[in-house]
Amino acid sequence: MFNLIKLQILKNKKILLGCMAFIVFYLFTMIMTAELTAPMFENENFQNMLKEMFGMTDAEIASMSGMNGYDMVETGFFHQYYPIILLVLSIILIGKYITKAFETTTMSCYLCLPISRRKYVASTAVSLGLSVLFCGIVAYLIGLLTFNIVDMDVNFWAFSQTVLISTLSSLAVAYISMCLAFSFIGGKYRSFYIVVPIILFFVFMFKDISPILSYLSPFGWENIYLNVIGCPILIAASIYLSIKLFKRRNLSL
Amino acid sequence: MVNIKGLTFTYPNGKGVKNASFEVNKGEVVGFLGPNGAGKTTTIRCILGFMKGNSGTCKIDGKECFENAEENMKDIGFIAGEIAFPENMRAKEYFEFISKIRGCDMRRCDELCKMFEVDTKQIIQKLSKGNKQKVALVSAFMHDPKVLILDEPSSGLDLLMQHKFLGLVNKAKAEGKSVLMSTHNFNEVERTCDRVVIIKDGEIRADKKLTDIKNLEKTFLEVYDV
Repeated sequence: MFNLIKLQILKNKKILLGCMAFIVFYLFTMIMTAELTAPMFENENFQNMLKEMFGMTDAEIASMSGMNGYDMVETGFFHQYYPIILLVLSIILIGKYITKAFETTTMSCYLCLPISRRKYVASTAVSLGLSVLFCGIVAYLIGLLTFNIVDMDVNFWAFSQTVLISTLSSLAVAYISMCLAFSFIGGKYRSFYIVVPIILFFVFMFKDISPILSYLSPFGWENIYLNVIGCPILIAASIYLSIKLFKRRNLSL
Repeated sequence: MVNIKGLTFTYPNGKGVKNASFEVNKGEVVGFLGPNGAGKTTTIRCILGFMKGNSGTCKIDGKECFENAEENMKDIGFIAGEIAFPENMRAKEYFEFISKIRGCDMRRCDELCKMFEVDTKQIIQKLSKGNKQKVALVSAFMHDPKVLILDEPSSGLDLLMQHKFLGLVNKAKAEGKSVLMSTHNFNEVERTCDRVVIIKDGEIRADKKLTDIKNLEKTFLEVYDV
C-alpha cells in the first residue's frame, strides 16, 4: 500500500509542482496588481466610480484606501482567496489523478498485480489527500514568508484555522467529486475537471466572498470543531462508497 | 488450472463472448487463436477478473476470477496486448516496485533481464516497442507464476528474442505451469502449444490437440470458411 501511494504521488509530481507554481504566480500577480491599484483608492473620482458601479460604502473604501499592496494581498489571500485557490487546485489535482487513474494504461498495469480495487482506490485517495495537504501547507508558508508577518501571536491561530478548515473542506469537496467520478463518470469526461474550476473561479471572483466560504465547507465556515470532525467522516464515507461501487464495475482494460 | 464453463459476456454493441468453455491444465500450453474482434481479449479480461461474465463461470485453481482477482493475481503472469507501464519510470524501478508488491526477490528478474538483454536504466516510455515487450516479458515471468496469460507475447520481438521467449515458455510447461497464449503466429503455436482453441464471433469453434491437427493454418481457415 505504501509503495503504491509513493508511486502515485511521484507519478503526479508534475501537476503538484504546477500547482505550486500557480500559487507563486498568483501571489506575484496579486502583489503587483495591488501595488498598482492601491494609490487609486486615494483618488476621489475612482472612489465615486466604486460607489456607483459596485455599490461600495464609504467605510469599505476608507478601509481599502489606508492599505498598501501587501496589506491588501495579506487580507485577500489569507482570509478570502486562500480557500478558493485551494479548492480550485484540489479540483485540478483530482481531475488529473482520476483521469490518470482511469487511463487504460495506468489502471491495467496496477490491476495486473495483486492489488485489489479497494487498495487501488484507497491509495489514490490517500496520495491525493497528501498532495492537497502539501499544496495547502506550501501555499500557507509562501504566504507567511512573503508577507513577513511579525505579529505571529495574534495572527498564527487565525491563519492556522483558515488553513485547516480550507484544506479539510477542499479535501471533502474533492473526495465527493472523486467518489462520483470513480463510481459513475470515469475518465471520459475530462473536460468536466477543466471547466468546473474555471466556472468556480469566475463565480467566486464576481460574487461576495463571505457566503461562498460557507458553501465551501459542508459544515459551515465558522465552526472549526464541526469541520475537524465532520470533514474526515465525510471523506471516509466517500472513499468507502467509491470502493463499494468501483468493486462492481466491469473494467474494459 | 484455468477453467471456463459457459462463459458469456455481451458488450452493448452485441459483441463479446458466447457460451465459451475450455480449460488449461497444469503443464499445458494452449494456443488461443482468432482474428481481431473475435473475443480473445474479452475472455482474457474475464480470466484476469477485470470483468464478470453475464453467465457461466471462470475459475483459476477453483477460485472464481472476478471475486478473487487479487488473490489469483499472485499466481498469474500476464502480458497485455497493449502493454502498459507507469509513467516516468525506469525499467529497474518498475521491477523493484513489482518485486515489493509481489514479495519476490530480484534474482530471477536479474537473470531474465540478462537473458533478454533489457536496458534497465532507461525510462520505459523511451524504449522501442520490442524493448518494452522485453520489459513486459520479464515482469510477467519474474515471480515464477503458476499461470501465464500471454496476449500476443512476441509482438515486436526480434527473431533471436522470439527464440529465447519460446524456450522460456517450453521451460514453464516442463515445470508444470499452465499457459494460455493468444497469438496470430502459427509458427509460435506449433513450436510450443499442446492444444489449440479457435474462437469465432465470440464462440469457441474448435478445441483440438495439436497432434490431431495436420495443418494448423488450414484448420484455422476452415473454421473461418476461407
